[in-house]
Amino acid sequence: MAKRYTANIADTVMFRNLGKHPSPHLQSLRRAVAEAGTEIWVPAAVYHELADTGTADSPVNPYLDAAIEDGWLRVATPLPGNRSDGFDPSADQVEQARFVADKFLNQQSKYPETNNWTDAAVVALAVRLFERNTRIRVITHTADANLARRTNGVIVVRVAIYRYGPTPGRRYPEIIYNNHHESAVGSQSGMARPESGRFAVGRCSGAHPCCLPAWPH
Amino acid sequence: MSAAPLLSTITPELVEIVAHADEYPAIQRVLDDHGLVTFALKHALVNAHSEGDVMIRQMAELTGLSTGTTYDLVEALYSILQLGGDSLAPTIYTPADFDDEESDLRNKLLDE
Repeated sequence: MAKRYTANIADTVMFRNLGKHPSPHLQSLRRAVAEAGTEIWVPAAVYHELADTGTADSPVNPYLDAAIEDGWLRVATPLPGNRSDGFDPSADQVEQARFVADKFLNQQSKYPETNNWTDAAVVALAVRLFERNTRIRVITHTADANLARRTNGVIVVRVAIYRYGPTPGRRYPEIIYNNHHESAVGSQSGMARPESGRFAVGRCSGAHPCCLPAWPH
Repeated sequence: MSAAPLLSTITPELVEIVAHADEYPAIQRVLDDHGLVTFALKHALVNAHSEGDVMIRQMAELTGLSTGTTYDLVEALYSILQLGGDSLAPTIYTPADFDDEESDLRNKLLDE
C-alpha cells in the first residue's frame, strides 16, 4: 500500500499559545515535527497576522521566522483571489474554496456578517495541497470549533480543535506525535478523503513549492 | 441579528473577571481603551466561542478590537472562567463525523 503523507496546517492560535521564539514549547513542537517526518504549513495571511510590522521596513515574525529558517515550517505562497472581486465560478478551485468558506462561515453564524477571509485561507490552503499532491492527508489545527465543523462541510479534512487551558502549548506536539503513530501503523482513521468531494486530487508536478522535498511522489 | 443582544449587564462574573486585571494586562488595556461595554460584549462572545458559536477573528471584527488583543483576551477569559474543560487533549473531527448532508453543503451553497 502506498504511503500517505501528512500536511499539518496551523492557525494563528497555535503559535500564540506556544509563544515567541525562543520558547521551550516551540522547541518541543520542532522535535515532534522532526520525529513525525512532517512539516507545518501556514497561509500567508496567518504569517502576517503574527508578524510584528513595527517600524522595520520588512515585517519580523517573532513566532515563525526561526522555524522557517530551521526548515520545519513553511509559509504558503499567496492564495489566489480577491475578496472584493466576488465569487467567480470560472476561477480555480483554490480560489473558489476560499470564497465558499468565507460565505459558508457567515451563513452558519448567529451574528452579523463578518470578513472571514483569513479563516477561509486555511480551507483554501488545504485545497491547494490536495490539488497538488496525490497521496496526502491534511490536518488543520485551530481553536475555532465553528471553523473546524464548517471546514468539514466544505472540504473533507481532518481537524484538531484545541482548547485554551492552564498549560497551553504542551498539547500541540502531542497531536503531531499521535499522527505519526497513526501513519506508522497504516491506520485509515481520520484519513482525508479529497477524492470524495468536488475538489479532486491533482497530480503533483514535483516542482511546485507545495511539494515537500522529503515527500516522495 | 446584531451583536447587541449579546451585551451582558454587570454580572458578578464580569466583576470577577475585571478583578483579574492585574494578572492579565489585556483586560486592563481593553477597559482603558474601549470601556466596559466593549469588554462586556467581548465577555459574552468568549462564552459563545466556548460553545463553538463564534470564531476568534469574528469576535475581533464584532468588537472592533485588534486580532492580537482579541487573542490575548480570549486566553485570559478562558483561564479565569475555566472554560474548555480540564482535558489537554484536543477534540478531533474526522470526515466520518459528518454526514452526507453536511458534506454536501458546498454544493448547496453554490446552487443558491
